[in-house]
Amino acid sequence: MSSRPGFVMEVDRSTPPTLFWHGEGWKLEKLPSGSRIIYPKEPMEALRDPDRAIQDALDNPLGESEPLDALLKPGMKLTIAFDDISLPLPPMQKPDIRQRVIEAVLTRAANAGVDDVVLIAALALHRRMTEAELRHALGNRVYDSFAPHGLLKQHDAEDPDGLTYLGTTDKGEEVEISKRACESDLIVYVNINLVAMDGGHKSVATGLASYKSLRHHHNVATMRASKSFMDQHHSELHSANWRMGRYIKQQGIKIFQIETTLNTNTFPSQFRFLQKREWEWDIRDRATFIASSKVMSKTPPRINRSVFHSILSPHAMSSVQAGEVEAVHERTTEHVYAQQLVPVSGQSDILTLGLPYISPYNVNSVLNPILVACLGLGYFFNLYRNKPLVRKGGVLIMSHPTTWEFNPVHHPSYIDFFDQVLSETTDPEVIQSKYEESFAKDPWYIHLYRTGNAYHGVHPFYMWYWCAHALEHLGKVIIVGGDPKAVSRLGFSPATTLMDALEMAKDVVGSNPSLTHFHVPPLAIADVS
Amino acid sequence: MESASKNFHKAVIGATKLKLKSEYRHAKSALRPSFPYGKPTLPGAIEPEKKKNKLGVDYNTDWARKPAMKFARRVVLESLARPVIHLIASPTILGDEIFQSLKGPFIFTANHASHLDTGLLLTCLPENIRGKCVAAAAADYFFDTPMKAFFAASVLNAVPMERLKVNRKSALMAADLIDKGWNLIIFPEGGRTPDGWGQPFKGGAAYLAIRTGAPIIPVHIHGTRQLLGKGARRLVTGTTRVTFGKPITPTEKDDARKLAERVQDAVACLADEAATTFWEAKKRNANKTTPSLEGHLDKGWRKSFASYSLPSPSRPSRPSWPPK
Amino acid sequence: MKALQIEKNLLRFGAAALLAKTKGSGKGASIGPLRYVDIPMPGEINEKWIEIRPILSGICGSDLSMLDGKSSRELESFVSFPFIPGHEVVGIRADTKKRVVIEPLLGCISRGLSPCESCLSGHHDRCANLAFGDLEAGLQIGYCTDTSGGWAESFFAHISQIHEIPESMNDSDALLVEPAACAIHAVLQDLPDPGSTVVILGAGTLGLLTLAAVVEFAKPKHIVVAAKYGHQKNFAKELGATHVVNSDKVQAIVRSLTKSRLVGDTLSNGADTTFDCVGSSASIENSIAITRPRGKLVLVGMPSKGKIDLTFLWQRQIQMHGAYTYGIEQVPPGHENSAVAKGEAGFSTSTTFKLAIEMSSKMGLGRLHSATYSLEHYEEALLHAGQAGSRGAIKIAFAPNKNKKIQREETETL
Repeated sequence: MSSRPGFVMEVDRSTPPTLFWHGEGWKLEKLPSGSRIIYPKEPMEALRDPDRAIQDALDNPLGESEPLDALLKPGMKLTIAFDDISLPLPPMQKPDIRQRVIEAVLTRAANAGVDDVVLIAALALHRRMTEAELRHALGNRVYDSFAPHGLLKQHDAEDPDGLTYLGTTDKGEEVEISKRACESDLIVYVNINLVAMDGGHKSVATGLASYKSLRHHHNVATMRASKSFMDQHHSELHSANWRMGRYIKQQGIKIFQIETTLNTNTFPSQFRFLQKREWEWDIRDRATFIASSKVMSKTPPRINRSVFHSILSPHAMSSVQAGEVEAVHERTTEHVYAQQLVPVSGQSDILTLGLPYISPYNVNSVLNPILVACLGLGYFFNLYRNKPLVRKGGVLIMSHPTTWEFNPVHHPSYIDFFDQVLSETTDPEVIQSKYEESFAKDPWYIHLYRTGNAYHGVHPFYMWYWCAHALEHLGKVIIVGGDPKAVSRLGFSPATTLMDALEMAKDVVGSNPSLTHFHVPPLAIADVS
Repeated sequence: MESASKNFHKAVIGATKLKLKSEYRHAKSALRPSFPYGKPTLPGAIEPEKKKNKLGVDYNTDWARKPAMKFARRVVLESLARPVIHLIASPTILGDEIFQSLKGPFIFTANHASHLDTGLLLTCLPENIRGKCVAAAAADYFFDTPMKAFFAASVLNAVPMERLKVNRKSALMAADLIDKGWNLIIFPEGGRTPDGWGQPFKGGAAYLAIRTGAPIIPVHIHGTRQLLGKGARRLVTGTTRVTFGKPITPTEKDDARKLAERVQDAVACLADEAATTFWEAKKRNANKTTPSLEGHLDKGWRKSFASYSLPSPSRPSRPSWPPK
Repeated sequence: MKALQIEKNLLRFGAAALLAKTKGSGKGASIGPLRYVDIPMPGEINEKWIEIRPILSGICGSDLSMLDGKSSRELESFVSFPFIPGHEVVGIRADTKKRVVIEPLLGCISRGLSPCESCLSGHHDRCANLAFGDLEAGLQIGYCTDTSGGWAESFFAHISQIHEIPESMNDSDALLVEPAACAIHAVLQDLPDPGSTVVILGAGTLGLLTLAAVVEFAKPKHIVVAAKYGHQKNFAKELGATHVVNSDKVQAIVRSLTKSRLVGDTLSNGADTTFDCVGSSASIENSIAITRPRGKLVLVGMPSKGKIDLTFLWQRQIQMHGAYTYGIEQVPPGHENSAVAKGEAGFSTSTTFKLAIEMSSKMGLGRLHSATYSLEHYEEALLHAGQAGSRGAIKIAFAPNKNKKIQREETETL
């Protein structure tokens, strides 16, 4: 089964309406003739025997690294850090990749007689995972072996006794990471690379860092200087992380990085039409589309949400590599590119996006307006290499209900950010200088982050910084079908229909604009020439 | 300059063609319900997918093995096909006692002379085996049109098998079925004999046996060519003989080519047995003087002609009833 | 004399209350106890009472709640019927033709009594003789049958109640002096500490004027104003609030600003000083919930009847008290212009009205004056005042002596 490559199609009279995600739902929209639609590559073939591939990767490390077995010695301190709930999206069907890899690593550690093993969810300033989420990611065997003894930890970026300050990089960036990780003889990092942005030195230098350390790259200036998050060589965010990662290495901290990639088989067969090209929808696809749309328009949003968040994705491991961080990440990036790159020639005046129900920060939760902005402007807008899909000063049109709704357990500081900060200004620089510190140091948010399941107080700021590059680049942002009040609060323009939005866009880009629709998810990276 | 303007013309013509195509498709769909209630129209830039993908090797026969189909086929096989085939071919069965002691699944490899072969072989198998048999059928012959594919899959429980080139998909599918307990009937010659003589055995059956560990049961079918040979226009009634050989269980050391040779040898020995007796055939086999299935090196009609010099099967005498 | 008069007519009060309850504030005017009448001027009381011809006469929240039948019946003993309301007045002295504002409290001095202890020290707001002396009962001009009131073509004011205003001060600024004095009194009574957090609930006239007074006299770090309507929010920002939010978001912002935690739905900390300028049961309970333990809660407007859960007032040991009218104040340094005496630590003493006149012209509080009506069109005027928030207004006033034909006049600032 070979997967067909992604491609760019020009819309004409006989092009059927195009699927737009719309939060917990979707719409079919007829795009004007001459518009372009970018279709992602079909899911690549998965590894036939992932477990075997993992063993191979552990035995044949990349870069300057010994095989894992040679690194494991009796009496050593071993820390296994792993990516948190933000990956992959949607959460994958069992067994999760992390379970496969960690079980393999633990089996070897057991054979080598390693007693002191601690597992850490590398969640940086994300919310702590629930027991169910940890069990899903790690499997019951791992969970039950470590959690009851307190050896399955979640990184705490605010634990005064749990962090070690290592020093500063040559650019003066402070490096402070998990104490346990620093004291370990070996850190094994288990990563899932969903997009080209993940992994590499970002895994430890971000995942296990403190606020003090993170603010050196999670800020407006860095985000604006990152001209493609998907291309580490043009991303200041990555440069900073690489400096930190190398500094960590210089301090003698040993990391054995295991990175995995997934194919883009994102939705289970009952929703297969979501990853098919519209003209190939068969009767079953059309029937599912119609039935699900009708049902969802009748059922309460709360129920739709729980249905969507119960979707487990069938995406499968397409590669696994282990060893020295940079060598591993280089190979990983190749695999991600192989699956996701779609060549696109030239930018357009307008970019349209359908935003789905999920982003890295609302697994099992609500996609609140700030996350809507971040998903559109921070993530999808940045799914490019070389140049953005939309020209400077162009218009971004996104489709999402954008309801004024927050999950108070997961996103308490988001509520206050929305009410107190965005009501005053949407300028990322002003927000950073005027408000960041008071949110970051708010004891209540810290308390909720450390003991509950809340994102850190500063997290909504980071969401807004993610948008900074797009906000600077774009002439206008329009949200179709959103709550006008919430959309206006974000500083965007609300539109009822796509046609209205296109009319509004003409004020900015002229009367005969070029338009590109990015048909994601499943994910793709536009390689814009 | 000239080439530039040529390219330009080409581009214009190309664009116009696309546009016309799109307009045509759009117009054609004017009367049917609009997407998603109706079928989507194809964008002008997209070439329609060739339907043949769905046929041939890629024809999915899973539906033919659903319980309801199994039951229907069984009814047809037992109540209709079996009596009819017995009437036409009056088979004599030899060596079927092996099924009393062995458990399947098996791979039946037989020589191939007629479309009757599959049906005949099926009716000659014990009931528990013939109910759970799939037949490897030429993807390019039996699965080239939807009707034929439907017929082959539903009636014969056939699975498509590529006979001209190695196809991993069809091999995997067959192996998967054997793993799930289905018996496989396969004609390793890859087609019916054009002249009565055998053709070299292909490695597919041997490969499957090695892969799945299922024993191969060599089978020789004699006489069907006379009833409905390749190219025959009319079916005539007559007598046939089906001989089952001893199972050949693949070992790990076997490679597919060697095993295929062993199987071919076994079938040749059965053919000899069918023509003579078990003992004579065995002796010739031990001396490696079993007549080759492939026979003469002659070509054309002379080869066909020579095949008739094979001894005809000796009919067992059967008292007729009522006595004349 | 044309005037708007209130008679003691329980049936009309009841009908007005019913209508106000079902249809909204101000709706009951047409069948309520208020009548547009043409009556003779009341007889002169003594030579110390001077006739005033109002230029502008404001509609106060307490007037409205009285007309809506919402105010407590307990206050009836402090009122004498029939009376003419109107105590926020800028007018012209009939004798000197000078523009003046009126301090309407009717204390010992105006009543011709030897001053009680409070009045002696200038604290008329605490006067003990509100129903005695030369006059019938009445808290203020506007509740007393003998003096007439601001909603008439003329009324009497005691010489001690009259404050001349500078030429440069415009009528609208002057109109806001009386309510501004109430606000200043409330703020100076409980002067918020420098660097503290102050919350003002409500952004009607009193809320905004309290905000103005806080900005003028105190130096808190945060001033949070809870406002319902857009124009209220804009005024609050203009006047210097650091945070302007919807009332349901007050708790969240107070939590952020005071670095509180939450115990259930209750803040662990809270605002140092809360000014409740709404006066409903819900807002008072809300105020208690957002005020820190041992913090201060001041009820600035006239509260309505109702039930209040005081558990957290008790548990958080909050000091809650009312702030009524004006008198004499201890003023922090920087406001010596109007001082009458010096006090400790740079504080000085001044009368509230002087401070209010100064503040109103300095901050241009006349911008809160939204619309003007003639007496004749009192029904529309009261309706407008009752729906001020939703109709984008703050202060509605009558112009009893202006061209009778005008029905309504929007001020420029709107």
